[in-house]
Amino acid sequence: MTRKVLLIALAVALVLSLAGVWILYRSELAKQAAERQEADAAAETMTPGAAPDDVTQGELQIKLYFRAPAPSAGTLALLTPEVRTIPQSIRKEYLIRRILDALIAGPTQGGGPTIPKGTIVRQVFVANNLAVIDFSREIAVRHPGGVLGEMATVYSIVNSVVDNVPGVDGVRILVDGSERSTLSGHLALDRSFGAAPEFVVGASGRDALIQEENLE
Amino acid sequence: MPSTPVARLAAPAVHPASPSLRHLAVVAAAWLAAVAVFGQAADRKVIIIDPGHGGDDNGARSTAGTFEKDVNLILAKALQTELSQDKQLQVVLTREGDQRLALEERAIHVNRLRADLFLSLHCAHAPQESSDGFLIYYFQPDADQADTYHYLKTPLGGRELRVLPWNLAQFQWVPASKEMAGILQRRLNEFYARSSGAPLGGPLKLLATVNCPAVLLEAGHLSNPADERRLDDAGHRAALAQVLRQAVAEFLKASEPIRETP
Ligand SMILES: [Zn+2]
Repeated sequence: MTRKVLLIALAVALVLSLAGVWILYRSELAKQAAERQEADAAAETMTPGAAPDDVTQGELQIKLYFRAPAPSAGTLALLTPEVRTIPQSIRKEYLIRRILDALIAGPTQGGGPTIPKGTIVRQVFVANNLAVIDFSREIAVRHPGGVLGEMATVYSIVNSVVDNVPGVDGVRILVDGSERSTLSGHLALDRSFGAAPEFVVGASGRDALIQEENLE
Repeated sequence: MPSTPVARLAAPAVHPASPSLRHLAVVAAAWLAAVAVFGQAADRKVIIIDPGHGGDDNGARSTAGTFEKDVNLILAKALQTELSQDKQLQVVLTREGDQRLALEERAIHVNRLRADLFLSLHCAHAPQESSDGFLIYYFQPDADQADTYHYLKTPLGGRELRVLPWNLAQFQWVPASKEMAGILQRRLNEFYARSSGAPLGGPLKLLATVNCPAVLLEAGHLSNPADERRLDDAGHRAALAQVLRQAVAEFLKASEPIRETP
């Protein structure tokens, strides 16, 4: 008789402890899911305007570089500047995002677009004086191709960022979170770029910039 | 003169009329023949033609739907046919069919064969339909790349980094590549009766890793219907290939004296 009671008590204890472990496990899962959601929300707020830490202070006049109508023969004057006014984000990352979003939205004064439609900026960070920009895959897979088109895309991004963001001297372009060897098969993308004013309409020729004796 | 040391080696064995003499004569003859064939092969210039893009990489696309990869390949084959008429040239394509080929694989091909000239064939694409004509490119480092090369080449800078990165292989060939680009521009200007235009130097990924004179030609604009029609015309492609052959011959002739001095 006492033995039967003891057995029942043991069984009840076992069930109770199992239930306890189960409840603890479920609550831990719920906690993790909540944390993930929070992180996702934080990532989303990297978009300017929506981010609580995107503090703006007045406005900033910037120069965006779009594709020049048609470069004159024998020159690499691929880019034409367009002046815009945007809210001045205090944090460099947000300022870069505003510049790139305007660049993606396209020209309004006669130049041509340089970034394929549907491209979004996934992430931006600044390490020392280098801005690392991660674009969605559309920038590569929807690229119309051609050497000049590829150069126009890369240098419109590089010049627009380096020219307008103080303390940023170079740009590294990633695609879909990875390094990529080229955008559409011609221009080396697996390195950092400095601004190239020689690709802007009205600049002196590229050959004047890099003399052959530099290569000896 | 590759046959001289062989003749000298065979000479001392000539006087005794032993059976081994006949063996030796046969071996020497075979050796001489091999040297002659090899010597001729070594004299042949290796030209690599690279049809740009391929496989799931279509390159540019015309409004009519023509893919750049297909135009590049068909033009490369026309050029191969034309250049192969010259028995002094060994002409190799980086791809013969419609397959994807990484830029590195193309460069491996060129560098392994110790090519004398590399021609990458592409088509241009512009946002506006009116842009037309060919474009010629050679590798020109941007300021950062030039700085790196300069640093590695100086005695102090080079101390810790004695090995030049692969992607700087083209640096020593820039003057020769530029010369080939100039010859090609002049000949194509004549062919198309154009008076303006000049080769463009840029930090191109493939050309940077190629260890020989290298030029990239965009043979026409796929975004321009007239250019597209011309590139689609076999007669035009054959005529274009002839011009390219003349440019290649002129370049090889011009670079000969430099090549023979060690
Ligand atoms: Zn191409």
